[in-house]
Amino acid sequence: MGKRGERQSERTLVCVIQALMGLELLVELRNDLSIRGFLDDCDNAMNVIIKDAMIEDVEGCQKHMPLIFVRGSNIRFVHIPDNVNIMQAVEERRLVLDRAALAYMGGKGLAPMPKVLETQIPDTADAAI
Amino acid sequence: MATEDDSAVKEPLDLIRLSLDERIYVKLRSDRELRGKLHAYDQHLNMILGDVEEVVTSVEIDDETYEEIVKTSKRHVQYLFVRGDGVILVSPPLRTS
Repeated sequence: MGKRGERQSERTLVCVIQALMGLELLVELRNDLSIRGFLDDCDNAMNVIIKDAMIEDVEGCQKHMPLIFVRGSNIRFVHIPDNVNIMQAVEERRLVLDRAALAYMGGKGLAPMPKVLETQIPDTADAAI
Repeated sequence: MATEDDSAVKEPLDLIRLSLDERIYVKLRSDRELRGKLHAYDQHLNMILGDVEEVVTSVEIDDETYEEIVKTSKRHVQYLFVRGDGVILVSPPLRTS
């Protein structure tokens, strides 16, 4: 079972956004655009993919787009749906990821480590230490 | 788990930690201000605020008199995630009395 805070995303509040994947929410961008749609994906940089999106600008002009990618740095606010229990959603996602990591390792319980062949390690590495 | 060290104020972010679950005032870029209850924050100053009031201030200049007209618009949001790169300052709410 992974400890809390081992994943890069769990050290910041991005994990809260990631816990909302699949839900409908409103994202406000720095350029005053509002995007309402279903959060399809969110990465550690808060880049998001929104499906079935309705984009509204300051004047109220609306446009529908089936699939949007938004760079995380452009986000100002994310409106979290009222009926969501955030703490529970974050915990559930953490458990899902832990189980997936365990299943990946065939149940042995160790996180995957990169395999380094001995021939790839240069001899000068030891000399530097 | 809560030792004396955990509650010590060592760095500026610790001051924000003291405001958890309290109402705070947040000044954002683009002449925006938020007042709400701080539920969570991180080192980027991403925050989750509850029961939030947002105030947007805009200054318009009258074409004829050239006087500055300060306008504010308010909005209420129940549960808001704020991205940290927009945050200028965080403070306990200003008491106007």
